[in-house]
Amino acid sequence: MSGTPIRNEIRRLRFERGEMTQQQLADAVGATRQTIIAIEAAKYAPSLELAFRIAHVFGVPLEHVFTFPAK
Amino acid sequence: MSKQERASWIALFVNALVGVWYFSAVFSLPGDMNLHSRALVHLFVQMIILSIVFTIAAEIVFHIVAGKPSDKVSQDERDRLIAARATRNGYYVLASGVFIVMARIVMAASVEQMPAFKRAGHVPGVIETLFGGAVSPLHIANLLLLAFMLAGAFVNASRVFYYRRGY
Repeated sequence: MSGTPIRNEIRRLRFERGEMTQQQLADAVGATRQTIIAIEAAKYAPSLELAFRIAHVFGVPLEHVFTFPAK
Repeated sequence: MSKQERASWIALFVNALVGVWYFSAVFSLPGDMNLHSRALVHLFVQMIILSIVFTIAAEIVFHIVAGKPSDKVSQDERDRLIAARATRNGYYVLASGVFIVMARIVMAASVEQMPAFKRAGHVPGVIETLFGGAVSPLHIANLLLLAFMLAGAFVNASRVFYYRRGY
């Protein structure tokens, strides 16, 4: 599995939240910084639970963080 | 680099180093392996000790050079997924190795019965006895050890591959 079609706005949302670092986000959701890096680069699709945790940290609905292209 | 990836790199490096050392020592033993049972036990114990020492030394060096990983969690869902997939890959290698050893045993039992192979005064070398001649418990133990080490190397190599390429 070398990539995922799921796209995300994590990087933008981090910067809008007082320039939150990847490490801070990782600590907040219980993941490693490497996992956050992989998610942002669309190299890894998070589980539903992790995706919800990330959305919860940013205080936005899930679909505002992650998008799945129609085709 | 996460803690898990670092551990995989260290294990890969140490296992390769110690494995090459051990089996080059085993293959360099002259004559029949059954004559060197004591030496083999010593080599095996040395291999265990060297593995532990090198792993600790590598962890210390990594810690000094790269510092302590800053993550609060030592393992997350991605680490578990990569570990599961790598373990599955290693299982295939181990199963193949065990199957080859089983075939080797059956082959040896069949060949031993053939008159052409019963040559008086012939003392086979270590490689021949490992892969081409009669099998003894020591042969089987070393062949299985080789299968285990190759499987372990494949597990760690798989982990490194998935971490680097992305999973």
